[in-house]
Amino acid sequence: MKKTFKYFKTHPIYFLLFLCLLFLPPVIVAQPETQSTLIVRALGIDKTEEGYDISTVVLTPKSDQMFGENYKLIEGKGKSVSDAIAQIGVYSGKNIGLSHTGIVFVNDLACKTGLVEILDFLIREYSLGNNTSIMYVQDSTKDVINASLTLAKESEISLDEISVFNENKILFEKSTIESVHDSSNAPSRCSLLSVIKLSDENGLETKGSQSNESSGNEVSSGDQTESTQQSQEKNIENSGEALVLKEGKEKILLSKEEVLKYKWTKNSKGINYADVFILENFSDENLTNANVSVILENNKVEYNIDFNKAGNPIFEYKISPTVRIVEVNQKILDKDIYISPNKLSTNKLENAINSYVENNVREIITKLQFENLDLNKIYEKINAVDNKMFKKYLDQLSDKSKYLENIEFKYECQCEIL
Amino acid sequence: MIKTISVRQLSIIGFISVFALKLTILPSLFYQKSGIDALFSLFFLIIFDLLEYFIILKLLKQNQNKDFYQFLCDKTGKIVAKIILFLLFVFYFIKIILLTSGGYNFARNAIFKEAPLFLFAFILLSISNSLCLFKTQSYARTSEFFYPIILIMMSIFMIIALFTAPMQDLRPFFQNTFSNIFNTSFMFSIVSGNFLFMLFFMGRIKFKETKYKSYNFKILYGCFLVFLFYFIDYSIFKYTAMAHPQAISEIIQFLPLTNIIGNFDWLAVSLMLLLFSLHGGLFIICLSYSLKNILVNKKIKNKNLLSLIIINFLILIFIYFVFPKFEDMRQFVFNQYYVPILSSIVFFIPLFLYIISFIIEKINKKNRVILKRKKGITNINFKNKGMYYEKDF
Repeated sequence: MKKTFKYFKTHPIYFLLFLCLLFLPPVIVAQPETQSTLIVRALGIDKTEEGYDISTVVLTPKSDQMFGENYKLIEGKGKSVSDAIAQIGVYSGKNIGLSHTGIVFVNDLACKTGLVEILDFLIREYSLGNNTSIMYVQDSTKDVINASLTLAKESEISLDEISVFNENKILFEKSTIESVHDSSNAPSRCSLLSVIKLSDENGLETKGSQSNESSGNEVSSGDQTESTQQSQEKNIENSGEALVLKEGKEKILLSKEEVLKYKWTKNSKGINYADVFILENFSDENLTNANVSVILENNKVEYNIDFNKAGNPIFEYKISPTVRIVEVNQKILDKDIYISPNKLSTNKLENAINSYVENNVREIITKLQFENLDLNKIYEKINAVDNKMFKKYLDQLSDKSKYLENIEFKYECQCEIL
Repeated sequence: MIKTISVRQLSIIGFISVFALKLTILPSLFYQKSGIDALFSLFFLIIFDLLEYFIILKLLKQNQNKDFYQFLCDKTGKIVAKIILFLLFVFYFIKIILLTSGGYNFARNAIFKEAPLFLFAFILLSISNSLCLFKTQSYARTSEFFYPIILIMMSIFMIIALFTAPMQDLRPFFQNTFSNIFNTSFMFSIVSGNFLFMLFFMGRIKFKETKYKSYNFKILYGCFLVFLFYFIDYSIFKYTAMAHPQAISEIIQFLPLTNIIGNFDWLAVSLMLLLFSLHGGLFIICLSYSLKNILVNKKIKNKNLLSLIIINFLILIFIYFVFPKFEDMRQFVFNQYYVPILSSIVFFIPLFLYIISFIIEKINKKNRVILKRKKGITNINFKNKGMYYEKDF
C-alpha cells in the first residue's frame, strides 16, 4: 500500500489517467442534454381571466430533418407564467431550455395588468438573458406565433430579427425585458415596446403549402384547429407602431407617423432605410413644386438645460441630422438636378428640412407632455445636470409625478445635406 | 532564508488577488446598500488596500531574512504573534467560505444548474490544496503562467464594454450621505485586504536593487480594472443592478459583440473559474501557514498536512451545515457587525507591525547610545543603520 502510494506520488500522471478511466466512460455513454431539453425559440404570454396561456415555438433537433421543419408550437396553461411553462415541460416530457429564446410576445391584457409583474419569472431566470426582445400583440400571441412558423420555414425571416430591426431603425430604443424592468425603476418610468399584428392585407405572407400538422402541433389543447388555420392564413405586419408603457403598464399606442416623429429625438448612426420623409410642393431656385424625398443618415441630438426665473426647467433640443436627397419628383424635367447633388442643397431646402424636423419634434413632445409620459428620460437628464435646482423645482410642485407639465421645451434643428 | 519568489511574481499574485467575487455578486450587493454611490464605497476600499500595500512592502523590504512568524515573535512576543495569526486565520477562513459559496452560486448558474455543491467544492479544494502543497515557488510560477491570459481577457473585456455597451449617465452622485457610503465600505470590508497575503511571503522574496515602479503599476492597474468594471456595470444597469447578481456574465449579454460571434459567455466562465482556483490556492496557503504556527505541540511531525486536513474539514462543515445557502452566508458576512469589525482589526495589523518595528528600532538605537556611553565611546556615527560605531582613542 505504501509502495503504491509512493509510486503515485512520484508519478502523478498515472493517477490522473486512473481518474480519467474511472470517470470518462459513464460520461461518454450518457444521454446528451439536448435530448432531454426543449429548446424554446419564441415565447408568447397571453394573460387571461383564469391565468396565463403560454405558447412556445420549440426546436426539436433531429439529424434527418431539413431546417425549419422541426419548429413546433406547444401551449401550456397555468396560474402563473412559471406554472404554465412547467406544464409545457410536463406535456413534452423534457426540461425547458430558455437560453435560446430570442423573443417574447405579450398580449394586451398583460400590458394593461403590469408587465414587470408578469415578466418577474423571466427577469429572475438566469438562462434567459434580459436583453431578449419583447413585442406587443393586440390580440393573441398564439396566433402570431402560429403564423410565424410558416414564415420561418419559407423565408427564413424570424420575428426576433424584425424586433432587433425595429429597435435599431424605427424606435432607436431597446424593446427588451431589461428596458421594461429598467424603466419601471427609473424616475421617468416609461418605456417603448414595438408592435406586431396580424393583417389580411399588409405585411409578410404566411400562407404556404404547409398544412396544419407539420407547422403547428398543439399538444395541450385540441379545440383550436380552426383558429390555427385562420391565423396561418393572415399576414404578419410589422406596423411600425409602438406601445408606450408607464410603470410597466400600457398607456398609449403611438402610430407609425408618431414613432417616426419621435425618432428625431434620438441619436442614430447609419442610413435609415425604414423612413423616407417627403417635402411636398417644394420650390426654390432649382426646383419647382417638387416632392423631395429625403433619407436620414445620421442624427445627433444634444440637450441644453437651463432654469428660468420661476425655477422651471427649460429643456432645449439641438438636433443635427445628416440627410441625403434620394428622390426628386417634379413636373418640369431638369437635367441639372442630376449633375451635382450639391446644386440641390440650398439654404431654402435646409430651412425647409429644419422646420419639418422641428415641427415633428414639437408635435410628439407636446403630445407626450400632455400625456405625462417621459419617454426621453427628461427627469434623469435634468437631474444629472443640476440636481439641486431640479429638486427645488420638484419641491414646489403639488404633484411631483406631473413634473413634465411646467417644463418649457425649445427646439433647434441644423441639418446637413449630403 | 531561501528566496523562492521574485518581486515580479509577487506583484502578479497581487494583481490576481484583486478580482474574483468582485466580478460576480458584489456589484449587486454594493448597489443594494448605497446605489450608484457604491462606486465611492469601492473607491475608499481600494485606497485603504493600496495604503496597506505600501506599508506591507516596506515591512517586507526591512525584514528580508526573517520568516513572518519569526518577525512577529521578535517584535510582539509569542502570545501576541499567535493572536495575530489566529485573527488572520479567521479572516482568510471567512474569505474562503465566501469564495466557495459564492463561486458555486456563479458556476451553477453559468454552467450546470444541476451540479451539486460537492462537485464544485471538490474541484476547487483539490486545486487549492495542490497549489498549497507544492512550494510557494510553484504557486508563483502558476500565477505567472496565467497572468497574461487574465490580463488580456480582462483588458479586452473592458475595452469592448467601454466602447460598445449601451451606457447611461451615472449622475447625480452623492444622493446618499457620506455616512452611508462609509458604512457600506465598512460592512463590505471583508472583500478587501487583498494584499495581506504578502506578509506570509516575508523572507522568501528576492528584492533587487532596481526600482519597483513597474511592479507597483501591476497592482495599480488591477485596482483600476476593478473600479472600471463597477463603473461599467452601473452604467449599463443604472436602476436594475441589484437584479444582476452574476455581473460579468450579465454585462457580456449586453455587448453588441454577442450578436456577431454568438455566446461570449465562455470568457466569463473560464476567467472566473481560473480566478476562483488561484484565489482558493492563495487563501489555503495563508490559512495553512497561520494554523501551522498556531499549533503548539512540537511532537506533530507533518504540520503542513495536518493543517490542510483541519482546514478542509472545517470548510466542508461550514458550507454544508453552518451556511448551507449563500443567502445565509451573505446575511452573516455583510449584514452583521462581527465580520466587518474583524476585518477592520486585521487591516490595522500591518500598520501596527510597522509602528511596533519603528518604535523598537528607536528603542534599540537609544540603547546602543547608552551602551556606547557606558563603554566610553564618544564619537558616535549614526550614518549607517545597525551596529556601526567608531571608537575614540
